[in-house]
Amino acid sequence: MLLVGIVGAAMRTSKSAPARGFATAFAEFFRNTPPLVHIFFAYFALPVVGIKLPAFVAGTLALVFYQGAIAIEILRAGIEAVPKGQFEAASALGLSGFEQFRSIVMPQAFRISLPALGNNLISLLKNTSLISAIGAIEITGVANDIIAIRLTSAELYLTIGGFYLVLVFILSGILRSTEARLARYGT
Amino acid sequence: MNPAYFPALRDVLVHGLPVTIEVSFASMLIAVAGGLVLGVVRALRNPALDAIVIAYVEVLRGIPLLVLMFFVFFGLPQLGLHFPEIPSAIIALGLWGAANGTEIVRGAIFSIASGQSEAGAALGLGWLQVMTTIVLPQALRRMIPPFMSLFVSIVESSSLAALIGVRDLLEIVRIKVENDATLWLPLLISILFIYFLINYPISIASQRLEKRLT
Amino acid sequence: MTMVAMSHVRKAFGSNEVLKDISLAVDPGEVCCIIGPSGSGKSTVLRCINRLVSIDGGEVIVDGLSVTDPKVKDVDLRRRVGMVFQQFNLFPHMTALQNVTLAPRKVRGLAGARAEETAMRLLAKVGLKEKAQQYPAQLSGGQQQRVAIARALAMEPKVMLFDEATSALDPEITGEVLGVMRDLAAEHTTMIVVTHEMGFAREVGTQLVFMDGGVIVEEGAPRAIFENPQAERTKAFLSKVL
Repeated sequence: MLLVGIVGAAMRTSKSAPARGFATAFAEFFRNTPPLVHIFFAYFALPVVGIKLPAFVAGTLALVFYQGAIAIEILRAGIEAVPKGQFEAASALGLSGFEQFRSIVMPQAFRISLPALGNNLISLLKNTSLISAIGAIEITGVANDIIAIRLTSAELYLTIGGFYLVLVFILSGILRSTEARLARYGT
Repeated sequence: MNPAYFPALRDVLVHGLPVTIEVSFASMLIAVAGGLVLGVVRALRNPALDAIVIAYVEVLRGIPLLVLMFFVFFGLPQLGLHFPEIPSAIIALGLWGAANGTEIVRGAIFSIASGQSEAGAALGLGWLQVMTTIVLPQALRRMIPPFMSLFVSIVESSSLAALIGVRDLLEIVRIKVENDATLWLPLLISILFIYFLINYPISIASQRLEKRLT
Repeated sequence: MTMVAMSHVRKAFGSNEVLKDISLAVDPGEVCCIIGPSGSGKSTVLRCINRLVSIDGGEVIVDGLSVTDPKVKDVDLRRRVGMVFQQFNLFPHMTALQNVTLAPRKVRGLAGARAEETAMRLLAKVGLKEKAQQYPAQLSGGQQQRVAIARALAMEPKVMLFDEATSALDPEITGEVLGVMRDLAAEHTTMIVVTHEMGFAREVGTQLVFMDGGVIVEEGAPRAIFENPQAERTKAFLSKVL
């Protein structure tokens, strides 16, 4: 997810028009369409063209694309928030474009984007529950109604909900302390 | 091209699209109304009420929407509360949206400089008058872009309703492919574009508006 | 009768004691100017008078109403006290006219037409009759502050509080706001003015208060204090600002 975000954001803010166009189209398309449909696409539609993936791999891949698209936009905003003077100073030092991006721009953009990236990570965690949807269909067979898998106990959903809640709280706790640690370097 | 594609697509558009739109709009309505009420409650700064609203927001945003939806549809009947598919989806999405809406409203209210409410109070306006005539009119404008983004999320998440049997875009596609699995590819691409055509203009408008407001 | 009487007022924000035993009396028609370094508690004194800040100890009586009396409603206090802020705090989503008519309509319950009539008269008084339909963002800082003065006057208050009303303005336009304040003083409006404008304090003020560190260090006739300050802290402050 992060890798997609970083590479995408670099392309999205690069001087090359095709790279920019591709990254923009990718990010806009994926973040404006439902992740559940991406998962269905990766698992049910790709086999039609001969790409067969296990449910977990297909689901993960689809989510990486969706959350990655969101990460691109977050990091792009972060890069745009880096003061212009930083780019100028880096150029004045004679750093190459890639070096500027890697050692000057990205570290600062990353810190600016950290809270939003953290939320994106939490959202990824919660969306992993969607992968179970294709798993369930896999078990019951597409022909059957999905709702035939009646795991119908209120306690079960409360338990699953509570389980995710704990994970999310732990993850946000870690993210908050990371932010606090990074805040010491100034904003 | 598969000859079954066009009739199938027609059914997806005629039957699935209205359901997706219905679920999204109804949920959005709950999200906005609930968000406004709970966001304003947060502005009261009453510790007990704050605790309740914070707990609601954190729990609803902390559990996956799918789990919430399954809980409403499969779990609540065990507690004696039966809702059909579409209302279940709207309740789950609406409650989830209201939690996000609360944060939007709260953020917008607190972004209005405190001097504004101070000036209102100094003129003799009561808390409610300050809220309705000074703070909310200014805050409402700032809420519009994030609420538009929330609507995009709600449209995306409405696809989860397919998993409890709501016959929305995705569920109609799933029904159509039962006899012909090769239809997955064109039909899923088609609905991806439908979702995109709904959401993209709203996303763009939201970003534009956001830029203009700052 | 005294218009504003403060006796032994104390106020702390957390562990920070901003007002320590403040006593002050302002009679009708007086212009009381409060000067002092920033952080001395001047603005807090004003906010205690209209209950924007609740006091921890002591007593404030405004036109016979006690701010510590729970039976006295906020609205009754604030109808008697007009306030002008450093940052103007005009409502940006309302025109100048709407800013001025808001409180008369919502608090005093005046009909729209009557409220507008009064508001236009007040806007004319501050020299902005022709700007009535403009929004705050379309007005200069000095114009905004004059609208804010009209807005406060619209409640027909018994006393006007000015919290560094010219500090956020460029030096060349403070004059237009000070001019309006001079006019009010000439009409014997009771005013309490927190200010850095020593000229205004000296010429317009009838009473001068020098505050530092949450206490009133010295008070008396402006001319006497400016020409012959008694306390060391007053001398040090005046030598820096004059």
